[in-house]
Amino acid sequence: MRKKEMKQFFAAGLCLFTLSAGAQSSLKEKYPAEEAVYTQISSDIHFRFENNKWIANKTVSEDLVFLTDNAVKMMSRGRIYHSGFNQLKKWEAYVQTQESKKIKVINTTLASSRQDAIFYDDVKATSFDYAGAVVGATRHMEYEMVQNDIHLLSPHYFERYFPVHEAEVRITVPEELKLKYVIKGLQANKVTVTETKKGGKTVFTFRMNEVEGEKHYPDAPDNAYYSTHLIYYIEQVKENGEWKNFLSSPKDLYTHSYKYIRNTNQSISDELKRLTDSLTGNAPSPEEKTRRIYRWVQGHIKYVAFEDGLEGFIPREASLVYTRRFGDCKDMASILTAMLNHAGVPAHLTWIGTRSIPYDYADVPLPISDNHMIATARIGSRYIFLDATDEGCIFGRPPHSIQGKQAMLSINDTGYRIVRVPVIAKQENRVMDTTFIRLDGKEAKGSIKVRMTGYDASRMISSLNYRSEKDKEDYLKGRFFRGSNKLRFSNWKVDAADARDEVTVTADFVLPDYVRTLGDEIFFNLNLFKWFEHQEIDYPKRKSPIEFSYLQQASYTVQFQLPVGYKVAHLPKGEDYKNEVWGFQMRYGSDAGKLWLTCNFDTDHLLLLPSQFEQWNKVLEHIFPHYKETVALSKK
Amino acid sequence: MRPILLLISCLAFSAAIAQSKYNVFEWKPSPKIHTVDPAFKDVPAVYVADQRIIEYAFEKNQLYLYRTLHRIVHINTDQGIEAFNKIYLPMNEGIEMLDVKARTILPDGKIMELNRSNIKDLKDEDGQYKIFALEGLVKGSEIEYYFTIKKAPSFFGREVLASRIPAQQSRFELISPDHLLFETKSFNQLPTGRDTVIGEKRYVVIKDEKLAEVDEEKYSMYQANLKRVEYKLAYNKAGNSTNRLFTWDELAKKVHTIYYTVPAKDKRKIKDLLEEVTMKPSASTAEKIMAVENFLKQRYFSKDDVDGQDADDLSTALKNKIMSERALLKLYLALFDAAGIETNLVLAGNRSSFSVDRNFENWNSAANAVLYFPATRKYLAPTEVEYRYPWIPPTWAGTNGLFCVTTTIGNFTTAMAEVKPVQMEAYENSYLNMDVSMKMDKDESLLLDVKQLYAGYAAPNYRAPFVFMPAEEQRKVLKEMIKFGTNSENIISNSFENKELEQADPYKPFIINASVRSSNLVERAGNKLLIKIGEVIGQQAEMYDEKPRMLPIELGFPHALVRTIRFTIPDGYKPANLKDLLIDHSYREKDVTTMGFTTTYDQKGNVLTITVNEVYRNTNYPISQYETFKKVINAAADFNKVVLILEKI
Repeated sequence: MRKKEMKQFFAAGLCLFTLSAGAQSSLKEKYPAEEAVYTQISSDIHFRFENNKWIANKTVSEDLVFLTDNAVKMMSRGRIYHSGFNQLKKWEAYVQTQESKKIKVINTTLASSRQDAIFYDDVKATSFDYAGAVVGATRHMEYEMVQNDIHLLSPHYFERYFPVHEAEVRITVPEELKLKYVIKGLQANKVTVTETKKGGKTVFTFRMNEVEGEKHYPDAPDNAYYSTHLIYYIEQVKENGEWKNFLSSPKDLYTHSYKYIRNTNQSISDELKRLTDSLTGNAPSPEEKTRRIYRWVQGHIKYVAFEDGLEGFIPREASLVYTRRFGDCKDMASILTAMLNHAGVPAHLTWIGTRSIPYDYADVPLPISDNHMIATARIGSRYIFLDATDEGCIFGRPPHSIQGKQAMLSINDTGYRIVRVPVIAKQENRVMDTTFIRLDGKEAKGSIKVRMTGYDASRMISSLNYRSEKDKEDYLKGRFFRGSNKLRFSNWKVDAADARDEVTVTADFVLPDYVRTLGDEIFFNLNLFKWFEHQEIDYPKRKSPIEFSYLQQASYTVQFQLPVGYKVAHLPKGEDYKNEVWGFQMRYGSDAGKLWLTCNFDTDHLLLLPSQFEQWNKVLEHIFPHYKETVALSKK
Repeated sequence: MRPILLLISCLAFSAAIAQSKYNVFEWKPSPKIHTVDPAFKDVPAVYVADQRIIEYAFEKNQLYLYRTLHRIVHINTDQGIEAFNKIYLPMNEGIEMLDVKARTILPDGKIMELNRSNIKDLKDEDGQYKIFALEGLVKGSEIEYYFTIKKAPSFFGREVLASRIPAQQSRFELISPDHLLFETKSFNQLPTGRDTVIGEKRYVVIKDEKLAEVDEEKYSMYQANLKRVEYKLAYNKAGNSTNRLFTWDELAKKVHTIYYTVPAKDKRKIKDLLEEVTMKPSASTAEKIMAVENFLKQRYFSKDDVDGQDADDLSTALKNKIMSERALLKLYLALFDAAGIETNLVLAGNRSSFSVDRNFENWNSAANAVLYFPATRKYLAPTEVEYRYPWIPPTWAGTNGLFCVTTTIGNFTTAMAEVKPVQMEAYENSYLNMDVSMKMDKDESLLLDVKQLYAGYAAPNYRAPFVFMPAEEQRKVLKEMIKFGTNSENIISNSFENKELEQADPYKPFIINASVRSSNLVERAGNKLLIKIGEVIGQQAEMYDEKPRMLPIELGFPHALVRTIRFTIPDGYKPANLKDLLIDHSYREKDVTTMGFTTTYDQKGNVLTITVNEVYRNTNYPISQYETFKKVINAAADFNKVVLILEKI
């Protein structure tokens, strides 16, 4: 759905001032390490009643001072995002020199703003070059936007890549509207709020000063988890002197969302009925019917997303999706529910926020709390969440991207249910990786056997499905790399369970130049993997959490066959270590002509918080010395 | 960078001659599924037909270019469906999309034609597209689509026929009014074309079949090696039919008019600007060149999308500081002219894609602006901010460029064309060297003093992050660079030498010094110490397990790598396997080592010095030397795995 749009319309009211040379040097003192600083970002929001509905008017202004030559080049392009829901009414941008000379921007273009997963939507970017900028100059931008559906007010994010000296959001609420707001993020307490009355209107002012620049880490969750942001919305509207709920609770949200699906699938085509009948005719149980329908949709409907205006909210007809053989999440949910209902299995269109959204419906009863749609089948008292956008997904198990999230099931025009999607236990997602090595002359040879269950298995299977025969081997080589880049695999075998919940991969290999011999001695390091090496968390600097896709139990064993005539001269000691955040086991063993090392690592968190980083790194300090331990063999 | 595209305006052509409309493309009314060649059964998808039709035709006395692309794609796998169910048709430089049609042919013969209302327009920062999704796709089905785009005529073009998708049949057709004579040239074993006249039109047809898919390979230039055809207008029989059109000389003249002419109103400004450039009166020509370049590159920058009516105006450009590439070039030439330095504008090709061909004047290939200074015989890349005289992007050199050489006849100044190679700098000036001293420290870690030296063509990529990136990013890059060779992020101290882009001596290397503690290079086995000395040169590219080679070997630039490692052997130990350090794989031609990897060592007291020499003296190596080349590359990768065993004395 329209997530990007919501986020990109960072709000910012109008407050213009010129920066004197003195002000610039004090900025430089205040932010010595920064290349540029926003002196101010402000947003001013007003509501007005027009053409029988309430709309919001937002005026944004921002000023960025360039502190280095580099910043002048890096920040030379400005952008304003807008769409059918957020119409850009007017804008102005220029560079203001320290001598207060204004130079207008040049080279303005209007372009679609695309994001990867969406094939087509109507989000646009107006962009331009700030001409004539030099160190000390300020780039100024201001614009006015009309938000013509006040259900879709975008939150205001306070942080930017560069520090913001003064940030302010002002919302003027007429007496016919009741505003509700919530401030989120790890620094939420730094926002001050004032509320004043002015001629029947209430003005809310949110201020945050000296906002630190935000650094990006690729393994961080969506910034909604940690950035300071203000979510504001209309709770109630006064009509004819009477307060009416607008978006006061999940119930109001349901009423709002339901109108998009009200007319979906009033009937379905005969072809789709025939297909459904042929798939489920002899199925012994509702669960089996569900499984077959799900697998068909997963395998035959490809993900293509068109999200033009309301297309971003209304699921297409199941019969159309069937003939097209493609659709977005809503379309797949539509065909799934239609087929299931035709087959006699109760199924519901279901809104859900993926894990990129940290809110529960009760906390934030707004359209921004969901960005995705799935189908939910009810079998007896059990709910089965069906997301066909992921072709590798295991039947009966949610995709990892919605674990732990609330799902809003549509029952009928007024009835809905909120159900929480389970988090899949780590025992269900296992990796058991064994390497068998023996010496052939001076060269190490052997085989690997890797068994995976759960998400690891389904990911593996879909990765292979989308590769040509030629690329599959390259993929496997990279995926199961160990030892050194001289490793050469052969004889790959992949044995995948039909249900996609289990896969076993085997291969043979030679690994030249890994085992060292010196006279009568043989040396080798059983740590063919060095997990987490160079992955210490940037503590205490890092402020954003770390996200894991799913919980997991992983076990890696390297087993070495003792060559005839040799005995173990040195076998390193292992270690079990665990603190309150996580831990590991590394155990060496030997028996009957073999010796081995087994390492176990569990992933116990979906989200690792900054408060846990120190303990996390402590575990790493314990792991790394073991990687240097080498086994020595000598002639008997 | 396309300075040339901008300067070809629509030339007026005599249209008095009989005019025929362009040939409207039509697909078969009842398509059938094709038989796929067994060679292409395992790929995700194959073009059973891929044709490009380029037609020059008049419409209302105006000449236009009509380009039609028609494809039939046979889908073999799910991956093939994903790759072809969404189609993007580029609309760049087009005036109008005349026709777009697409259909799916299902294995049972059912046809689903795309509804025109499902074609969306998309304009993003990369360009303009028509996009649509194809309906009903299953394995074994075929997608057929074509579009015809009407453009203002450029009289040059190319069609690259080979790609990552194999083609069973490939066809190129060039159609023009009888009086406009186009020449074509085929590259990389594509059959050549011959023209025939039918009625009032002239046709050139080139057909090829079974074009294998071409994948990227290490140490090769991908695009340059794909089968392609280029075309250009050579004669206009309606005019003076013996007069060859669009010659290199003509381009040189045009370039001269556009780039070398400074309006009187700007002359004063240029003089004032030159005053602002700091240079000693006694400065040599090279010093003056560098001073002007540094001045302009620090103050102004160009973007290829800056346009508008005053985009090329010097005064506007100076005020805005952001300007078109054309304006920037004019500025350079004007300043050098004012400084009294003779400058030839060179339009260079690119070894990695399309080169300038002396005998086939495709103006589009002369795409990269370089300045050549006859006095010093060296080059400058005005639009490339990370390069400084005499270094230019290396793939623009080692290939032909069009040199616009200024000549004066009477009091009329113009330029003549010379097509000749843009010379590369000598191989020994480009290097990636390392000098490392290391000794054991407590807890079996190593203390390393690392010096990494980057010079010549190798330097810009390493220097640029430390000039252009925010401080935070610089730290990350430094960490990665130091980790390479030390396997450690534990930097105790570091410093840079010659970090700035502006260097008085452009041959001096950019140097990173760092003191590093690494605990990952030593392993213990009982009472022996294993020193992973090979890791000090960093992980090396390897070609241990390659697929059969398709493309010839070509490097970005010839270069050398010298690494010196000094290791202080800890007291009470002696090395037990020094011989393992020795590797030698060299290839000599006429007593010159054209490529090689050679190591030597020397022990004095407790200091062991290892010297690792690696050299690639040429840019190109014939495919017959592929096995040798692989051995040299792998020798470096093998050295990377050498472990020195220390035993107790």
